[in-house]
Amino acid sequence: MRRCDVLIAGIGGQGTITLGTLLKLAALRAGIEVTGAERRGGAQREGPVTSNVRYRVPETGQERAADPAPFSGLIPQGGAHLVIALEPLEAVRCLPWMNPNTVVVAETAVRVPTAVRLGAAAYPPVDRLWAMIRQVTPHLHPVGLESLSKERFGGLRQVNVIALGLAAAVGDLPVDDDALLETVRERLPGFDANRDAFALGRAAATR
Amino acid sequence: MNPLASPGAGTRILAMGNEAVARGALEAGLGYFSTYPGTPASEVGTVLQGVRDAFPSLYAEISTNEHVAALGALGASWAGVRSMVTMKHVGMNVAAEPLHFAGYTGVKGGLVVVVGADPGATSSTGEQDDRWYSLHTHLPILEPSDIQEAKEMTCRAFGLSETYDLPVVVNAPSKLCHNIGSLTLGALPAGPPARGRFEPDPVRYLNLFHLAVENHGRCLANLERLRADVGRLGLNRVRPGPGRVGVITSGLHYAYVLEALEVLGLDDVPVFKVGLSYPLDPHGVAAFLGSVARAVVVEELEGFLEFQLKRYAYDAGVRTPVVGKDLFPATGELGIDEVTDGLAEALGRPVPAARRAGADAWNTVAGELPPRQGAFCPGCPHRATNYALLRAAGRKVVYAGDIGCYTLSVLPPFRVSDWVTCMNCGTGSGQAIAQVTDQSVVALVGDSTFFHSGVPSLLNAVQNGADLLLLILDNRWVAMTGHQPSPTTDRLLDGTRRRAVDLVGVVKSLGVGWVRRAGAFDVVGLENRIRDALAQRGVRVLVVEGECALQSERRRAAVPPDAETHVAIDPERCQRCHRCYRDLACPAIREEPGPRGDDVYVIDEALCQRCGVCEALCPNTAITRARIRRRAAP
Repeated sequence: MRRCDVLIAGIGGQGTITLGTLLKLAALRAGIEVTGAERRGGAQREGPVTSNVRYRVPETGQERAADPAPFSGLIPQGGAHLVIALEPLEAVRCLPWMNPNTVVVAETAVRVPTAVRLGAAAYPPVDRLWAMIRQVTPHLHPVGLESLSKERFGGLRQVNVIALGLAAAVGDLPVDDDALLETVRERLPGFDANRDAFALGRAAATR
Repeated sequence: MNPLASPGAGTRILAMGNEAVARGALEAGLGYFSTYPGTPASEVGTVLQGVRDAFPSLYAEISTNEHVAALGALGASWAGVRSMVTMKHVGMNVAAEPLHFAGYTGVKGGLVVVVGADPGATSSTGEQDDRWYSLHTHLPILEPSDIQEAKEMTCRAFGLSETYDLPVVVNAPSKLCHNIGSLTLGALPAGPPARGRFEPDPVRYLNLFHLAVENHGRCLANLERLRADVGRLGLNRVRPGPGRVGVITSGLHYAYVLEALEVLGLDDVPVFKVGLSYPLDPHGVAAFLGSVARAVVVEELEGFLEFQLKRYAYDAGVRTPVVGKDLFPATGELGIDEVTDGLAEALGRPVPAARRAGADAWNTVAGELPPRQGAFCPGCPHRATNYALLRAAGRKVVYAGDIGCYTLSVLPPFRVSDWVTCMNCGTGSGQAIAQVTDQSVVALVGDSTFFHSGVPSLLNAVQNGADLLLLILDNRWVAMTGHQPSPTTDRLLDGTRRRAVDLVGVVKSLGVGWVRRAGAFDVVGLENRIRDALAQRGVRVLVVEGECALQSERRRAAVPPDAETHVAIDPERCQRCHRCYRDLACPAIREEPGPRGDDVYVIDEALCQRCGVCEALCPNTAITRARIRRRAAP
């Protein structure tokens, strides 16, 4: 049994849970067991939101057990294979789940917390945040997802599909591009732009 | 079609724990459903309201509050219809009175009570463990351990309820309610549930005097019948192992325990999985305890399983040492890592060092990171109201906040709620503070919370001549829990008109002398209205109207206007007075390096909802809006 655990982190309103749902639906399409809990709080904006995506892939030739043991919705500390963070600070908050092999995909655009806005706290330099992550894993991919989306599509609608393409490129996911793109086609409006966004994310990995 | 309404038995779909609960009820032939929305259980109602086209004989309502919802489900059960009521954990406090009689009267159609628990209080004002209620309501409790079991147990709960003549509780914590994963569907009933028929049964339903005592006795006898049968029902399960230390756990924590043992490299530990946590199986737990040298109870909060099983062990003469709450904390959420750490300690097996690298690094840097709190959405009418209220009333009044999206008023920069406890806490306690002090009290309540429990408190204030200003923040939706319609919802998202309750009329009918309405987005006008109200005495109600921005935006996407407006800050006019950036603190207003090297405020067009509040409050007329044409597609 191969496992793959993906932790997604963002702030309320960024589509963190939708991104997790896309990764899970793609698994269903590929016949892979999947589960994962969310932290969503209320319907509030700007608070931290996380989504766990946990895949269990049977080895070739292995049948799915008739009564599989439950697997928990939470990734244990040090257990994430891939972290997708939609904001730099939220990427660092995922540190406890990282290990030296964890691949981290992170948005570079900052969302300033209210405490910083009010002058009650400082937002560390983004380079300092990346250094914190590199203490644990060298596999960090910081990308300006929002600026790519604004530049190419004139808004923020494509940010998460760009992130998905980037994750597919570097994350060694058990779901392939076809399953991901078919899921995007089924669930999100404007497939032509989303297909381009996915390719843009994939290409951003090699830049 | 919604996959949760799919007839396809054996079909695999992606579902949330709450959705699995809803599907389980549909597979059991649910006929009546009631709820008051509350995180984390709200989506059960979203599903059951949403599938009524496919299940025309299902009655599904959003009730005024949990008390009404529980009474409704009990009535439908008496009429012979399979019924379900859902609520969040603290909702059970409101439903507690009817639920204490439900065991006395018993059921006719199976009655299932679903409770969404919130250990860690991530979206609540408390983290009470509702399982303790069953020590006096005597309602049996099922605890599913994953999404699939959430469906199976809910489905089965109806039959158990009918067999043992007791309502059955399904208890699911937030991490299961909001767990999304694969679910295999079962078969739906062949036909729709039959219409019910109420037959009077004076002995069971009239709980007066000696009849109440007799019914109490029958309730306890039903419970004993179930206690005697538990071992044969297959609801509990033992995962055998040769190890001398055994683990007893229930619900979601069964999955955590299995994974923790894997992390610790232990495959010989016997595990007793409790599926029915009230009443516990006395013989099953005593036999398991007798088979091990030491037992560890893994459970969240205050130790409900441990409390029961120690009694049974004593009765059975088993003296196996049991550790539980001396190992795991009685407060906060018990997640996979807390379970792993506890079992590592109890079983003398350390957590592998490689697992700790990230956590160790986190501990060294955590202090450098600013905290992140929730905020009102861009375009939220509550932000505007808070701003205007602070301008008008300042820091010299007592702020009596309440439960809803506007609970975020407690946070900086506004801080206009001096306490938050339960629904209706603002008007309820605020009027008393006004009676015994010389302070001015301003209470805030949302439309849905006002109808939930605020009406009697406002009436109380009128009846007893309190001196109180109440702002009813009417945003037309139960927004915090996922935008269920509220009594004041007058337009649905597709633009359809809906018959709404006349809120001002209701307030007047309670005898309030000073009642006015104001628009939230006209911050200057609102500020003046609040000043007027503060100058008066007695009970005053200001209804502040402004629809939830998320909902009006969604409706606009469905019913688009012909042109859009564009809001911008003119850097030449902006004096950096900070009113928009700090006092209003809208997330769509950002600070960026300007062309001359100094910082400027800008409006992020992608986040802005064009509510116009910043434009109205800017003293320098630096914020302006213009009509723009939609950008051509690339």
